[in-house]
Amino acid sequence: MSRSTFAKHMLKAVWPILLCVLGLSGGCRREEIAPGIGEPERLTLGAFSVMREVLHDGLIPEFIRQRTETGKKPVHFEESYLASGALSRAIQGGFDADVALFSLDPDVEPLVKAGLVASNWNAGPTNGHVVRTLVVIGHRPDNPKRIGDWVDLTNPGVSVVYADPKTSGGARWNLMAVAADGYWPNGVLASATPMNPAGAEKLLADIQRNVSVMDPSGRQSLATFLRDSGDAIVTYENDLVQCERLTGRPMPYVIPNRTVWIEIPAVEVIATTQVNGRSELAREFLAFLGSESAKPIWARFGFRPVSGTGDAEGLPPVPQGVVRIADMGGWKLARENIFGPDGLWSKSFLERAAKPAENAPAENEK
Amino acid sequence: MSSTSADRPVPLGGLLLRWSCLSYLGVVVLFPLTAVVIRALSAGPVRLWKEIVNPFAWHAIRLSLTTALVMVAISVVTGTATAWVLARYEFPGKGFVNALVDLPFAVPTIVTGLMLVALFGPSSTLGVVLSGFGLPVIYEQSGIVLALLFVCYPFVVRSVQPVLENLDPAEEEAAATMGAGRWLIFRKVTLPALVPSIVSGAGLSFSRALGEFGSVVIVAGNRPLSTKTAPLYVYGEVEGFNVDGAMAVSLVLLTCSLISLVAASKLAERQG
Repeated sequence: MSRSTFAKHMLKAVWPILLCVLGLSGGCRREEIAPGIGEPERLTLGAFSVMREVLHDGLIPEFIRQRTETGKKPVHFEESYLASGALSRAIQGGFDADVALFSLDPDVEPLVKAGLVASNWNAGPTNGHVVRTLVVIGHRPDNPKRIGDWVDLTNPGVSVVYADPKTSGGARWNLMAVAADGYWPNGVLASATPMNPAGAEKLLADIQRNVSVMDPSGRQSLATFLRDSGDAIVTYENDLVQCERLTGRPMPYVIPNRTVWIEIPAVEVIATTQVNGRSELAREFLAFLGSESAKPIWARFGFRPVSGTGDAEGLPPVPQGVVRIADMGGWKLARENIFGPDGLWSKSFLERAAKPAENAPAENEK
Repeated sequence: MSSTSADRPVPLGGLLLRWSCLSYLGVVVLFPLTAVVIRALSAGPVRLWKEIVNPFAWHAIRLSLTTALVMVAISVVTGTATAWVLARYEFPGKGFVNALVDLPFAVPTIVTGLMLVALFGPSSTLGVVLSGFGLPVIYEQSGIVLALLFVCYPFVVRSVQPVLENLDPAEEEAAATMGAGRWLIFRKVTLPALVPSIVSGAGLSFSRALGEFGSVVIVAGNRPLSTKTAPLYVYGEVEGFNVDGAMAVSLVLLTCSLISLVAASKLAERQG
């Protein structure tokens, strides 16, 4: 009996809340329907998580400012930030993004296959990329362990952290940069010389020997480094620049002479824009992302332009030996060669496990 | 005791309670576990075996089992001692200490990991001293044991303590009047009465330790073939789309847990 009075009380308490919610949602819908002169155009933007700050705080406000300056209608952005792979799956599953930015090309492929993105998305002069960043080595202030290139990470007493390539896509491209240095030793022109898998396997194994922590994601790896674990971290340049912005702690780094470009694709999701009539706006935004006026904003957040040498204001110069994933046979082959079941990565582990006594520092005499 | 209740007609309420509790167990525990087992077995025995003997998986499984066993061995001693102190002695702040015992259950395991790194990590004073002696803890296998010790701490204490508190003092007193020393009394009189509860606490902590993820992922360093435990391996395989590998190792963990729990309860039954 006391229970039923309790239920009545609950209902009394909940009823006004229910009304409120209904009223609010109704209000929302009305606003959307009502046509007006100042009614903004809308653009739904999906991007991988790392893009949140540079888009939300830098590029989108600038894009809106430029439009209002030229007297065009204001734009209202709906932004959604997910892990790159999750974003790709969400769009396949019906998420109605008009424009999407992924951390790597392979996440676009299933969208092309499903007919959601035009098959010529990468046909332009920048291959569909709007911006790029480099794999670099972060070190402690004043560089006490004198880290200048990949080979310095193999020195005894140097403790290295990077994310686990099993769980982190970013970590795979980090180690791709290590492999690139092993494939083509210093000074050799990448495109002109065949790759040397044995060299890559040795460098991967020698650095792995000094690794103390392998976190599941790039972000966690950076957090570990911030907790003062490790002398060096292998990660993206923009991550370190971003980290310095957010924490205020200096995050010095070196760009190894041989490293890889991480190129960021941005696409129009035609399946959405054609239905909503937003194709023109989507293309305008994509063009803006690659424009001259966007460059300084990208650079402030640690990203480099796709065109030219890749040098950007406020960032260190790009060394000579930077290669593209395309030089390593493209995403699929590069990934298979290194992280496949018979790839160099697994092999370097198993060979070491087979002869564990070889951990001795005698290795480093060479 | 079960025969007396079976003789009487079962009241409807009791039947309903029994039925609903068992179906609840089925929905909440049995269904998900069965799904894992079915999914794992669907890969076929050859594939499963291959995934388990894969050197990376096999190392992870062995590491999880050994770290859990080491933890249990330590916990059994320290847990019984703690329960003894709490049950037999009066001291100021005992109520507070008693509450403290359960705290490891309340702390999110990832916080446990962060706390241990702050305390024993390479940048802490303690960590520097330990590394100086050649005994680094964090990012080594001993760090895993440390995390497990914290996370599983309450199990043995909480299963032994009530038994100790309710133990009839008459036997111990009798032994004492016959001239037995305290250590002999503990070994011959008290300990045998405690064994079932110690075993059940050990079984619970072992099972819990096999699946521990949150704290271990922070303190272990997660290096394959070195400090990557089975749950971390499973996570990696799921992320790498090798669901068969993940399921195979999960199946091994599940089987080990089940064996340890059943064995513990059988052993406790026989001793009790």
